[in-house]
Amino acid sequence: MDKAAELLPGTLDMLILKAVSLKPLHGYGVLLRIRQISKDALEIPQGSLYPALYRLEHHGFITAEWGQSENNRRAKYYTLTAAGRRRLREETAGWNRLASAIAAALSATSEEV
Amino acid sequence: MIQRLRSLFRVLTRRRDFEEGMSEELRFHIEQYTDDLVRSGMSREKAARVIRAELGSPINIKADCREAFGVHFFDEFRRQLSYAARLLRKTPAFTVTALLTLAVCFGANLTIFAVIDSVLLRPLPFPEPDRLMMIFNTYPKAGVDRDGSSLTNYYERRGRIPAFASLSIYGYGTEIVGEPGSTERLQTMRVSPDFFSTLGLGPAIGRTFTDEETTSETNHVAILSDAFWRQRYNADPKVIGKQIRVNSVPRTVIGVLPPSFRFLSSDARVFLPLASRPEDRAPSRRHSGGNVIQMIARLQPAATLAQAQSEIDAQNAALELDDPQAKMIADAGFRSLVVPLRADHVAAVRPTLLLLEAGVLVLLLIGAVNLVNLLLIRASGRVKELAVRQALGAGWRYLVSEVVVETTLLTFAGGLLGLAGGAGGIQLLRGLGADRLPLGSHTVFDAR
Repeated sequence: MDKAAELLPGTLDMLILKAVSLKPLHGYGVLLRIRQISKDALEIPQGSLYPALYRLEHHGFITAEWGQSENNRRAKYYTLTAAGRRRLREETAGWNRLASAIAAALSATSEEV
Repeated sequence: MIQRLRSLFRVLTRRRDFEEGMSEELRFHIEQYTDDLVRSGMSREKAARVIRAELGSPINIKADCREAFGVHFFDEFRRQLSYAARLLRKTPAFTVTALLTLAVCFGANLTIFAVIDSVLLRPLPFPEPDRLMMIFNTYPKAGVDRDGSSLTNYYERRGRIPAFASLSIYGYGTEIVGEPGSTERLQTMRVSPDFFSTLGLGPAIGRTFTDEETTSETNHVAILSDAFWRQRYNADPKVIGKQIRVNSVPRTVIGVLPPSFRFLSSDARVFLPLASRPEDRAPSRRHSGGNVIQMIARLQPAATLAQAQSEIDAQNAALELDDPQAKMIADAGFRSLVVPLRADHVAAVRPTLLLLEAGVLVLLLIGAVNLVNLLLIRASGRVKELAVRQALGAGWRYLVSEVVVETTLLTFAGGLLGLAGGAGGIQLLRGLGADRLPLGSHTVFDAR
């Protein structure tokens, strides 16, 4: 766990949208999926997971439906909506712009100044 | 925005499902996580500790989830509402006094306003009622302020005053109506043929009177009010052409008025043509009004009252030129005045009603001041309680919203009682004779 990076504020929503965009998931599944796709590099704060899911549902980016889990338990599954897909695209583009700008700034050398 | 309101509404209407779902979801999470940790070799107790540390308190998570949907405001509001209700129940003397104050003030205002609305504000039930005018002769120097109009006036003015689209006369009366043995004395109106077209509201079935029906040989026709038609003829649509006896003279029913037809304060059930002989229409009878016949007219769309008045004055002056009694008439200060129909009809009661309205408004003000006093006394009694709660960590926002909720609850309850009081007050006024005021019988409890 020590190696896991802390999430920047505002990135949790983006990661959740990404996770459910691959396949409908229940809350615990979202947690596992984010760990998996970040190769255990990101540890999401579990206490904020559900409020974030509820917020996204409230804004209509994901919808929730009760279904059966792999081991036949009742579980709430989240699916990305069209609005959520749009949102994910926007956030991804914004993030990429920011990340490459910061990377460029940080790789500046004294000759370039 | 709409999406969020809809989702909030969905949660609020299925509040229990929301809570149970939240618990089940968290339970599922904890169980799955425990199973996974145990499978990786951790003891159950250790797993529980780890999860507890990573997840935090389920109570806090649930609170955050409720906040995500905005339902926490409603929970808060409900809690404050029940707290306020409890506080108010604990001080019955204060609560009853405050509620009664509010109920009396609101009730009195509602009642008087209902009368004002009916008499002064509600438009007359005719199209463009503001263009309806009343015209009457006045001889102030002979001590006669109002003398109605004469038949001569009507026949001389009809179609000759350009400012008026239509001009007509009417007179009130009572008549014995019905077959021998089952007669009743009814209010009636005698009207000129253009009376209904002047008002802009004619019979719902059948036709209006014609000019040929204005002599005593040809006037054997009648138009019925909706109420009379329903009561006497069971709303029979085939009533047209039937005979009805008025003062034992048989007349043919030619029309039935719509339910909304009500001319000022009149409760006329049967309308008859205003018949006259040619000699009644002669110039010598011009000043024989005697307040029996009244004249109303409808202004042309572009015409003004002043224009109509000057046209009437000009015609009067021209007609008086060859009147043998011209000097006497002029000495009496003769004029024919044009005044708005509604204002004229309610002129006598208008000042009284406005005074009453001012009275109840002052009553409302006094009530409000009283209530503020009561609330201040109550608040000063709670200073200690509030100080203690603040010291224990209650935010001022919370305390303020609590007081606002309490006051709102009180005023809403008072308002409801006031509505009941208003409804009762209107009944009382009707019992006391509000319907004898001009237009007063329209006084009703409604949300117009």
